Amino acid sequence: MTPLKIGEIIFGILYMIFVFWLGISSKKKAEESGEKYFASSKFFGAIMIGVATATVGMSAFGFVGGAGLNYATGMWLVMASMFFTISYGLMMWTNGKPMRMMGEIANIETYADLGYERYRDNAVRFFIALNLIICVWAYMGTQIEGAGYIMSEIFGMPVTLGGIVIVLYTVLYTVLGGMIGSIKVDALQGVLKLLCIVGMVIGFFYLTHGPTNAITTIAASPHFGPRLVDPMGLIVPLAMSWIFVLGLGVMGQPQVSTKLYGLNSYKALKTAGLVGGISYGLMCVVYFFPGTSVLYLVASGAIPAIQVKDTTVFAFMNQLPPVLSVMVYLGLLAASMATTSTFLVIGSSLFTRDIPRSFGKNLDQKQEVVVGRWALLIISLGALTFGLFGGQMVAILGGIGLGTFVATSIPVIVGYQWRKATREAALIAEVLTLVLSIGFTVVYEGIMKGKLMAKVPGYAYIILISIVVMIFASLFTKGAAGDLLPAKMKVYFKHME
Amino acid sequence: MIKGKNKDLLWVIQGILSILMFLLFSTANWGLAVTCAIIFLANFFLIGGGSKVDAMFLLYPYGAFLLFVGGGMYVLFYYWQLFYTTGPQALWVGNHPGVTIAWLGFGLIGGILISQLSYTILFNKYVISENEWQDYVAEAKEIMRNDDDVDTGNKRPKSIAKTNAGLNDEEVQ
Repeated sequence: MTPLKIGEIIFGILYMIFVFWLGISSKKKAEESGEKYFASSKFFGAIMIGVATATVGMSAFGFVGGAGLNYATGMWLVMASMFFTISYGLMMWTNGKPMRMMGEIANIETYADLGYERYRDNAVRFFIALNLIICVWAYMGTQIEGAGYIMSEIFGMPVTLGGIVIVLYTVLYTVLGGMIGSIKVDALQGVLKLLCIVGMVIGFFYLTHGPTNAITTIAASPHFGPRLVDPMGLIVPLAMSWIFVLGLGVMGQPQVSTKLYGLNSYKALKTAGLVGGISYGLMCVVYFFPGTSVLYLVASGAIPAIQVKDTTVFAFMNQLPPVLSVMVYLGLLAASMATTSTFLVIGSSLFTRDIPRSFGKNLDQKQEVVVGRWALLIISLGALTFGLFGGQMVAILGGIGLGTFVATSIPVIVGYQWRKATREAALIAEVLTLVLSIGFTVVYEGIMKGKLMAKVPGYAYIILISIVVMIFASLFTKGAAGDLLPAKMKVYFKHME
Repeated sequence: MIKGKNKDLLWVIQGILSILMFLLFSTANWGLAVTCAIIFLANFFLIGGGSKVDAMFLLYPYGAFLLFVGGGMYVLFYYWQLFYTTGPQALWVGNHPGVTIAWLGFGLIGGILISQLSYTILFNKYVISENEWQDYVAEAKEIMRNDDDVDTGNKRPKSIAKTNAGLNDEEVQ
């Protein structure tokens, strides 16, 4: 074992200890109330929340899955990921003010709470919660699979075991620190990821001697060819649909919106948006530099072709000089844990809060503890199954989770921007999202291998169906809309529009 | 500008664009599908700006977004098809022209300079001003006095009491 490898292992252990301490350092605060445990309401400043929202969106999905997908299918991912950057601003324009305003008139702890407050309907709350469970499984599964690869690379353990270790470790500090601890950890990890980005950019130039050399070598290679370097790559239907899906991507991620509750002032919205957006934009380079570097190295014969695509980023890291390698290593370590704690908090709140309240039942503290433990088990097992045994590449699995997230969010997004959005429309849209997300995944993606409908992924269609239903069903129904708006929502819309 | 019937109309347009996207994506009409997608995304600026949207807003961020992202996509498609089989015969900043357009047109200009920066610099004018926020908080305080959410558990947050002058936690409850 080389000294660098030994250093990596020792540093990895020390880092995990530090993150654990940081996560549980908020234990007392988190225990003060559910509001603080789940949403850390009005607790943080703009920069902290900005970096945390950015890092939540860019986890192992980007760092491991992004590099792998870039290597396997080409530069289209660069093009599509730029729509994530656009989506960040659209999210602020659409969700920023409503999130903060609702924090003033209701105790919003979860995304399903938002649905309930807008439509005053427990069925809406219930189906949002059910859909979010699927989303959390798929998205957290992405994270676990990616984290498994990272742990495997650093500690030499099997990928499956690596994923399990990260889940257990994250469960522990999340249970104790809640969302406050999660945001602190996310912010630290955001800084490390930005450091990693610097290492990736320098590393790219070090390995390839610049993009001109890299691109011409890849395009001329019989192993890859020109399609790998064009803006639509090898999977044109996916590239085209991701323009739309990722354009809505940040806007429709409850775990990003949830962090906006944590702003300590409404004015912080404008700074948080910019900080988060730029951080996110910078992190999007993970979709280009590592994957393209490895494409170049393989095309030029410096290294053999990558067999397991999701290991691309490690092939990149292993070719770098020690200083750059450590910088990338730090980012990967951060990416292995980012997001998981946030999803655990969201997931456990679905069971301890949203689903019981959908049936008019509030759990007391003792019941919350019992249900919460079972919830963490269910969420973790579901995510492990999706991530480690789902048989998808990390980035593809993340796409499924993201798509269902967006579709689930549509009734909430529309509802807080349009006073005519109705309860009935929201309910139909949520039920359809549930049915279609299972149906499309099992039948369209699983059995038919997504070959019909121009090979566009099923979740893109689910999002569109959710939008169409939400809008047009609202034109023909009346519940909780217009003059029938709940009292709080009348005040809200009076000042929001 | 975007209020009442105008807002209803805008949402109906979003619905129609969604139907068009469904049909165009499922029949592999990529160019038209993506055009609809960009208009659909741009319309969220109008939705977010709401009643405050004016002629200036239509220029920036809305018009600028359509120009740079929509125009950028048109040029991207042009170069994509031009070099589809041959590989890039010309490189822009070392990349396929389409990829460079993505970096600069979508990421830097469309993403950071239009979508994100507009929110920050236009916040007081088009999102919410200090006075509007104070008015809202004052009215929210009134309605929360009669909060009837005990049965659902969604009581008002204690932090409202801290942010509203003259009203402490005890008075709230």
